[in-house]
Amino acid sequence: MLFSSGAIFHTGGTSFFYFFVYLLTLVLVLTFLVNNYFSFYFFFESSLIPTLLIIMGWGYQPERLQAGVYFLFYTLVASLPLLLMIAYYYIVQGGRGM
Amino acid sequence: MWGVQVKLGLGIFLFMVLAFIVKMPMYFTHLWLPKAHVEAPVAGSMILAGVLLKLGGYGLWRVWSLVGVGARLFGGYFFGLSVLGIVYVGLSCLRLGDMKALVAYSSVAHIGLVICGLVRLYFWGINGALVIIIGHGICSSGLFCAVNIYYERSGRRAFYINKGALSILSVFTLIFFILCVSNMAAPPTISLLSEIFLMGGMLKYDLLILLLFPLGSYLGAVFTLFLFSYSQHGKFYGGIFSFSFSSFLENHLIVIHLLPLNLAFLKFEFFLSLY
Repeated sequence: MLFSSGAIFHTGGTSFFYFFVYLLTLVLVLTFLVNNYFSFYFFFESSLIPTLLIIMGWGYQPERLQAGVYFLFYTLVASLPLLLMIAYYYIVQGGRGM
Repeated sequence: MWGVQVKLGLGIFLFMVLAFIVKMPMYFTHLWLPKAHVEAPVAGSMILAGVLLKLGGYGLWRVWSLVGVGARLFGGYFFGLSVLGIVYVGLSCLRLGDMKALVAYSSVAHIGLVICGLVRLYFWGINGALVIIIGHGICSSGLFCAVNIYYERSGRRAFYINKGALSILSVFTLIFFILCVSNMAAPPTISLLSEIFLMGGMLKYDLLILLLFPLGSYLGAVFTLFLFSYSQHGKFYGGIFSFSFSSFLENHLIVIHLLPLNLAFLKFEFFLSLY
């Protein structure tokens, strides 16, 4: 499911783009590899920031600013209850596992 | 007492699941997806479609052991919403003029199928959802790459500008068609496998699903064929000056997407063992 960023091309290369794509790939790999819900949530949310920077920095149309903000806030606000629920299960069960 | 418990259960289920419902977009919460995909650069779009959406699916998988009981009580809402969402998104795809937006909406349709499979709590449904997630990730990513090939040459994502590519980039038509075959869930790709699994998992829910699920699947085929035939067949757009041949890098990139899709069905017991 994960594609190497070396085979992805784009018009006009700068080195920061590859850095963000690599960072995003790293965060995504980590999301699938961690064992507890808090770490999963942390990487889940932190995959949004490189995506937002990629959309804003290297998108093509001027609507990308609004689109990026829309994407970020929509996903962020919707996953805040998830944080509450993970904390709730942590408190209720006295400790968490998988 | 029972009323209070059911209300609390709905709140917990919804809160736990809402993050993933938005991330792998279910129909009502999919509004960010066309915007983000259309505005993103190709690599961003590929990673978005290929992996980030699957994050939502994976997260749902992970919390399913906690809230899966809620799926029996409240899953009907998500099921009906997703099935109707497939039909609506399929219908709205036919009126789009933007290739990338069409691929983005087809993502929504596929993930609607995933949610339908997941809330049923059948073995076939959950496995079908997993196979769609894998197949759709590869297929959508490849489609974004393919659409970008036309976008880089003509500078526009519109259908009308990029039509008639069969006369111009003939070799690429074959590769594009095999990718579209996977998007419309036709053999011999794992998308067909996933739809067969899901059919087994979904159809017992209500008699109405017998009408809606084939309609949704059919509309998926319709808009994918619309994407393929509008961009490939017909007379090519008269306003182009030059159109470079597709380089090895572009062909290689898409064939990497094609090979897992078309070969993975040969060992599909691998997917059955993942649950």
